[in-house]
Amino acid sequence: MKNLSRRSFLKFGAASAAGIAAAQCPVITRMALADMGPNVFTVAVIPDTQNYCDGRYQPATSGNAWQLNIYNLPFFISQMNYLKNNASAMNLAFVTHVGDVVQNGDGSPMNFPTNYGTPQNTEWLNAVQAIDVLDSVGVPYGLAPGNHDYDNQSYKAEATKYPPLVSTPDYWTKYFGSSSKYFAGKSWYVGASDEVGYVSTGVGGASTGQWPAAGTLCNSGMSSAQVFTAGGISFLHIALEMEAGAMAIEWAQSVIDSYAGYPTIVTTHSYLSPFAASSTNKPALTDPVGPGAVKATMNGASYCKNSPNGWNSAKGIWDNLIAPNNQIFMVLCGHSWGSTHNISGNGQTINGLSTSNAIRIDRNMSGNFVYQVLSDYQGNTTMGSKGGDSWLRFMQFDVEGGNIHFYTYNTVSGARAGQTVNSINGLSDFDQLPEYSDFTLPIPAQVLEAAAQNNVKITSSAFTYNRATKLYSGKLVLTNTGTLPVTGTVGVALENMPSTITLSNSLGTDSVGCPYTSVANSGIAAGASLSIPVQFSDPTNVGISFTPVMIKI
Amino acid sequence: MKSIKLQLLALVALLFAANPAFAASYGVTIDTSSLAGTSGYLYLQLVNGANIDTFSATAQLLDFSTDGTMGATTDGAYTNSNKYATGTLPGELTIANTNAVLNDYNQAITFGNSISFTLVLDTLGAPDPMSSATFSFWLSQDAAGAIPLLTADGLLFTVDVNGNGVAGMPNVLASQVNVVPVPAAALLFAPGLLGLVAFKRKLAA
Repeated sequence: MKNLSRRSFLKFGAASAAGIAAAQCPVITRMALADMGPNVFTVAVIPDTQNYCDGRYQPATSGNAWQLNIYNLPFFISQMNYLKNNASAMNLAFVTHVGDVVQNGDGSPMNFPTNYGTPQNTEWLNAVQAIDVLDSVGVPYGLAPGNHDYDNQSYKAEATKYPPLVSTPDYWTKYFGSSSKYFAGKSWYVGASDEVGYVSTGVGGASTGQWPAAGTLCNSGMSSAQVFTAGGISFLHIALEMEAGAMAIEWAQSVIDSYAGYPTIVTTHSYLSPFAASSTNKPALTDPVGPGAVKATMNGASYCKNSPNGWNSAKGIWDNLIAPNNQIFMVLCGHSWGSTHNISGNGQTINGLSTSNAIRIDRNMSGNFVYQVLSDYQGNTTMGSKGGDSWLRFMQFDVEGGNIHFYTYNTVSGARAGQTVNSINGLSDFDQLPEYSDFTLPIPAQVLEAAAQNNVKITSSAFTYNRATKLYSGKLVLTNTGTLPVTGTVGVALENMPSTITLSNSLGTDSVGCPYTSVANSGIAAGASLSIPVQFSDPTNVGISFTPVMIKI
Repeated sequence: MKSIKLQLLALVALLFAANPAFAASYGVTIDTSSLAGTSGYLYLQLVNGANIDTFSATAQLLDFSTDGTMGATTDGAYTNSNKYATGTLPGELTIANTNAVLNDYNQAITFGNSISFTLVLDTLGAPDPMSSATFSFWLSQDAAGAIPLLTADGLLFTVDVNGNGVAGMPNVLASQVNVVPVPAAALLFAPGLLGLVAFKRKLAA
């Protein structure tokens, strides 16, 4: 973990009861992409790529000689090249991988060296080819591990068959850990959960022998965090490990505390289930929070059960991490794609479709909405891949317009899902309604709040010195120069103040130990100012200096 | 005629643009009749704001006048904290913002019925909008300021000035005090020039 002393300029508090009551249910709409502008940017989501990297899919001409997969890997590389070539045009701000980067973590289940003539790390080398391209884009990115990225790619969680997901330093952390070539020294890389792990005893009950040798460090560094700035807003991203246990949740919470107020996206591999296809392949629609909104179900925990690190279902992650932290406005996931199926009618057949897109919208404990989005296209094979067909999910943020436009794009064919419907069942790509692939939602209040607060400028008056009280008095003026109101009670914290200076009218210290003060207020309307008196003692007359930072109280 | 107008306008612009330094003047009168015959101290401050950088400022007291009697100077808040003040009242007095935060001046007085002076606040050098300073004027019965006069804390008025050359309106805290901004010479000269243009236009008509 890097030094997390860097603090946020905001700390969100819980919404007031009135605020909760006033929050409007988000409505899914269909809109055109916004014209690019300074406050329009894109976040890309890479769905499960294990089929692209799968070491079993060898070219027919390769025989038993080891060769990188040339059948499916190009789909992955095509995706990364698309990001690289279009990063500027789409103002690409961040890229996240939802996990299952590879198919067979340490290759042992497939017995690669014997059965396929490939080294055990074949699939990681495949992945590296693609991530090398992503790395060259020059934008921050993060990868969350899926169950297939653990060494034992545990399909079975029962202790009697396989141990719970185990990762040793030979694979995930070697290629994508905090010390890997991708993240070491990157200014935007916050750190990884390197202290979250356990030492294998070599004993796993009935599964003894499946566990790493006694003394092997397991499952450390599987979660990571990154920061990025776009549209004038600093964001935090947490790539949370599979079915994160209590220690991983605690680590993620420590990151959030250190970056309090950063609008936060959490990517975790297993979280939502897709909509079940009906007999007519139409997804079931529900309307939990507003017209057009749909609600996918949360996944249970099955892979990490019995892990010494503990585990959580999606509901557990929601309850313990997402809901209590108002700054988390989005959860991204993969893992679940429904079933691959074919549809027939009108003398036509469409093979290899799945119900791969889903969304769930819930209120967090502060009453604000959190968008939870499933993107997993590994069941789609209509283009001849072993699964995935190079579909990517994009989210275009239009801060001024107040919208996030979700869309799904095929980097090989150039098709955008949801733009047309097929003639067989009237549905669109992925055999779903078009609005599942291409839709617009309002930017959640948490993000707009951060955008508004980013427009608050703080100026300091000069001071007068009272010889009787031996205090310097002045005021800090917070001016909202933007067009959005800052809501809730705000104050100002003073960072970087010399140790000999004391803020005499301090109301306490903030989350990083800096003194803060305030006056009675209910936020700052657009264009308005708030004046906060400050008093200092400077017994040695060294001069008063500080960095004023607005905080929420 | 058009040529003359352009030349005059250029001259006006030059008067405003030629000197990057900024000066604001205020006429100050203080009614001390309620204190007449008693002893006390005048305490003047030029205090820097936070994060002072390259900003330089001075406060000058000119044309100081009182029917009281000025006494000796003494230390301000700190020993020798008044060392960046030059001159002694009732003569010309200048306080520079040389100290990191507090620059002050403390002088004994036996009050008469009034005090008056011209306060000139100067900022020097390139504009520095991030920095500011405040001039303040205090009265107290004792040298340490523990026994304030006229107001609850002895503070009679303040004037802010920032490094961008923008002075605030005086913040007057005592009913006995009157602080009036004095138009700068250039500001007086400019209307005159414009009047001359109008007069010449009238003659031409």
